[in-house]
Amino acid sequence: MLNKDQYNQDEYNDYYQQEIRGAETNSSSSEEESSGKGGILILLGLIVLAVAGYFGYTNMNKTTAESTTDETLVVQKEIEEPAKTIQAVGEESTTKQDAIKEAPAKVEEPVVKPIEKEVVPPQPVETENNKNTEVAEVAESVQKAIGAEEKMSPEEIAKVVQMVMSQINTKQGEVAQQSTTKKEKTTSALDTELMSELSGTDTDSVNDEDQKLEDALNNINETTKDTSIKNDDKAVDTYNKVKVSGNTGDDELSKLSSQISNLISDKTTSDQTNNSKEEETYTKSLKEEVVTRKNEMRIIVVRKGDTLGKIAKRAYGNVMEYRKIYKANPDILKRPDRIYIGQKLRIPK
Amino acid sequence: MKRLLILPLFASLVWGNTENVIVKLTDTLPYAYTIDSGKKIKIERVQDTSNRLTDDYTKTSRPCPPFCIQPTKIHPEIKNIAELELIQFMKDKVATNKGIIIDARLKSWFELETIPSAINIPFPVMQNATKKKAELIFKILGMKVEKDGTWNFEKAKELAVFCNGVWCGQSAHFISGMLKYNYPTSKLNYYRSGFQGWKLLGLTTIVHKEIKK
Repeated sequence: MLNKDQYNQDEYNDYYQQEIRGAETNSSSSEEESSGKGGILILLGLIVLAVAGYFGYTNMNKTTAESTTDETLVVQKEIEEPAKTIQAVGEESTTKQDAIKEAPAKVEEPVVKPIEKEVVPPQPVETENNKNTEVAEVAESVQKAIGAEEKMSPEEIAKVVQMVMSQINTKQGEVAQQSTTKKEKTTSALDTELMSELSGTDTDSVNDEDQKLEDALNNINETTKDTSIKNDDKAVDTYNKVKVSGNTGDDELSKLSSQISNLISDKTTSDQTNNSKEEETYTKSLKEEVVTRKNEMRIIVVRKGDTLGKIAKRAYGNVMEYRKIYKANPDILKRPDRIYIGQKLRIPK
Repeated sequence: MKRLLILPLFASLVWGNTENVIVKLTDTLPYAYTIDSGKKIKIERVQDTSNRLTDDYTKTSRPCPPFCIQPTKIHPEIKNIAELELIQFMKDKVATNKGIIIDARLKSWFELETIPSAINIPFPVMQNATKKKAELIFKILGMKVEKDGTWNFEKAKELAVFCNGVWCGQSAHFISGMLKYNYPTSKLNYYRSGFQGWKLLGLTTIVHKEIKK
């Protein structure tokens, strides 16, 4: 570069000296102006041409010199600076720096490939797919970075490389954590299954769930029953008893029933006298029990103007005995002062 | 044409009634029918879900003896039945005159309240019966006396015997009287829950003699 400039200067000097020589020759000949003005004009034209030619040449040299210096600077920077950033990261050795100097894309491939091998563990299909997609994302980002390398500055490339390295590290950590946690989960699930099989807790838990479901269903049924019952309450016989007065049927069962009752009541065939003392006491106890039952089964129908006191007076001869009637009819009487015509009340003895 | 119009109406009424039954006998059986004293009796349960027993059948403690807890099996060859089997018995045996439900309690108990289509043979009648009386009773129940004097129970009716329940020994006494004269065990069934079990489910009962004051 410098030689070229020096050469230009020399050339300039040569031209300058030539001009001076020409001027000296012109001054010596001015005395001989009379010999001809055309010579001067030719000389001036030559000078103008010489100056124009000089400037044009010098400008041409300058542009070519500047373009060559820029190209060399760019190449030096591209080679030197990525190498420095990768050394700062401290991930790869100097052998990889050479590869980066030649082509940075080749540096990133060996970084990704071994991680792919590490990332894909012998796991179920679902986890494997997830990990492959994660690695594919990283690879895409790397490929994008490689594809955009020509347009990116060295600093940007260094940033991309750092980013990729950090992403790979974090992904490695996450995958390792996921695999360990999943392994722990699977092992813990197996342990619990085994334990439940041994101890029978599994069946208990299922039964509990079934019980809860059944309870829920029963609750629903109960609520629906209760609401619908209120509508049909009047149509339902409270005690579900059917009164049958006398055997009036002509069917075989009725005939048979009447035959047996006649046979039992026939004193000629009666063997009641043969009862042992034990049987007599049992029969006596049964008869007493049936009296109790009769007393508990006494029913009166509430009439117009009745109160519990009046009913108690009729039944027991004492108004204050209304409490006995009230307690004997908890399903009918909610309050002792609220009775209604037609109600059938039990009157215990 | 009128029949065609009436038939769907009748069917809808029957369907509607079935849908109104909240407390059914079983999941698929809302009620059943039997015959008592020449009347068709509908066996159903009390539809009031708040209904409770309040009378004598709520009593928990009677002196034992004589009112002691009965064993599950009163005889190894006699079949125990429950409510649904008894209702099925009404349909399969009583309705076809092949079986009878026997209320073995005293007459006073029977008259107060009993199970539909039951016939009363108080346990003392059978327990203390002579051979002659037993023969008369068995003849009514379908037994035939052969020419050689042997009793043929081939066409004897199948019996379902009950009394007041698990605290009541009247059925046991009755059955022991039947077995004494060789009534076949294959034709005897024991409804151990008895009338209390029937009442506890709110099933229809028959009152022959209502008590009023």
